[in-house]
Amino acid sequence: MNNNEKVEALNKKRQEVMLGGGEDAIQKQKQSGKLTARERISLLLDPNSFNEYDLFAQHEAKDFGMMEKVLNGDGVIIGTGTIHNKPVCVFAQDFTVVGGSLGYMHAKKITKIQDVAMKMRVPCIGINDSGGARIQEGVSSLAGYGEIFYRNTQASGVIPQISVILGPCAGGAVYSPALTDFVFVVDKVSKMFITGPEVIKTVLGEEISQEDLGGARVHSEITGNAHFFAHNEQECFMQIRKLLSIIPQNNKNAADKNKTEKPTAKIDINNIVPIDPTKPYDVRDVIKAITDNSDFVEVMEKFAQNMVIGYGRIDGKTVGFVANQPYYLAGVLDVDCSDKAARFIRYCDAFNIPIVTLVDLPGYLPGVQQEHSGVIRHGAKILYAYSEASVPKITVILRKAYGGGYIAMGSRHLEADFVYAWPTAEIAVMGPQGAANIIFRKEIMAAENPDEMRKQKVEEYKQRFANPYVAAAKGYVDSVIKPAETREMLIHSLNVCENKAEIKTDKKHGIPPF
Amino acid sequence: MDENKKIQITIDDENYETFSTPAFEKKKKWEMPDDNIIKSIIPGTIIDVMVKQGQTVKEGDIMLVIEAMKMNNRLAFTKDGVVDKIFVKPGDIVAKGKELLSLK
Repeated sequence: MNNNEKVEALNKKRQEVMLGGGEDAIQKQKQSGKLTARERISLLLDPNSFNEYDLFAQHEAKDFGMMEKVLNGDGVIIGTGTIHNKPVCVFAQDFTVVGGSLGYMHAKKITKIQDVAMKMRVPCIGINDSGGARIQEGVSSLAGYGEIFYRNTQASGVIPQISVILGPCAGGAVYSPALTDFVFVVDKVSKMFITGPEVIKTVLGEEISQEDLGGARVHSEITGNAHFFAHNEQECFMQIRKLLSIIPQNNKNAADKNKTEKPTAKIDINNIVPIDPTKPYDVRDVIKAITDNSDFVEVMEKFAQNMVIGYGRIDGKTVGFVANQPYYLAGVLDVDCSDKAARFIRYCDAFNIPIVTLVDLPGYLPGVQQEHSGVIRHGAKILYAYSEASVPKITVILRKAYGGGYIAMGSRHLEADFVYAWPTAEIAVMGPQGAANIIFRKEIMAAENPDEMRKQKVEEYKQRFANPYVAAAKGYVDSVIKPAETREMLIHSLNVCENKAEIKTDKKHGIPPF
Repeated sequence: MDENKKIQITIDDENYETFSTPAFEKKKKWEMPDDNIIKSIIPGTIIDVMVKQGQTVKEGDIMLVIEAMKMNNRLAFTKDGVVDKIFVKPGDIVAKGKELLSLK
């Protein structure tokens, strides 16, 4: 063979291997409503930016007739590419090759690209579409999972790790996504569970479909395992590209600073919040009224909706928003939303993203269900996360901030750097009704007309305590501001915080209540 | 965002107007436990029922055997009583929380 023939032979070899499981398997993949691993990679990355490694990798399994089996790429594609011209590492499981099952070489390829991501300090994106462990390889495939989990954990807080669930992801396989920062799911495509419907039926006699057990909606709305929900794969990859445009590449670099843009939403910030603290509104309107271009990348939009989290830009710089959402469950703190907010706060802290907290909550959700679900230890996560975070923390109290909820939501007492309150703020130990019923119980009981007396006492309490000025008098609130001043105050405060010194202790790490 | 139903939440005597969420709707309401109704604490298959309706039983008597996670579990009464109703028979697959029998 001359040189040209050698090159031609390489070309041919490449083409063969790049077919994965072959034309029939590709047809099957498409018929089941899924894109192929290669199509997915090209949708995710900038055009023609993908460089593949280990294309010719082969497994070394011997048992159960594996010796004769050639599995192209061993069922997974790895490589580097760019998103918005910034490098990223990618792996994509190829379901057309023995169901994307994970053998040892398959895992070796994944850990190889994880190691590159970690060394180069670039985001790592994993596309999951696999039937699970390759049973023929026995304990070797278990070893593979373990080595992936270890790297997920080591990379946590150093580089962004993204998992995309585009097919089955069952059994041990679910734990790599669970250890990563952002899990993306697609309606009717993603299936995630520890134990599938068949086993559940035989062992437990409970009948349930894959979709109802661990479909995209379930993980977006009920379990909180997923962070982003898309209607199709195309939308999903756009979401990933968008997210990566707003978060930093690693824990040492800041996110790209954009040109400052004014908020574009036609919202009168003065009139978003109803003056009656028992009336709902959408706190995302406040976020849109203060962010550049009114752009907001919401994380976990459909889970624990009583708390809103996500990223936006202020003056071109990325900030993380944590906001009570009075629209849902009155914006109360509960088990799920505490968990959601705490993890987000820790992400922001690890990646040097300033946290802007918007407060409007009546307190914790009462009830046996919450108490028995462990609202004490889950609720403690928020306190821990805020107290621990050393990034700039700026809090704006929009309306009610009652009791323990007030303390938890990025208060001065947990070392917020700047705390502002709108004139509509009510910072108090509880709402006027409850407070008056306790403080003036005797007067109300003894009155000729208790209802009339209660009304009067509630009004008295409101006048004296349902405002921001009591807290402002003590310096717990730095400034009472007009809603229209909020954006300017945030820009100024973020500038002041630019070189915030981190207080380091010599502890190895804390022990958060998780 | 209006697919969720309008509800009221009461905290410290204050009634808040707001909307529900799917997860909130799915959460089980707490019920006062009734120790006359014996429920399965694990999912499994009923192997044998050792008592009959109307039978007087003592604390410690075995009521039934349930196979779960490949183990035969012998369930005993935790108090004296008379068997009122039996809701299962050998061969039934029961979910966790399924009523097995009741006492009076």
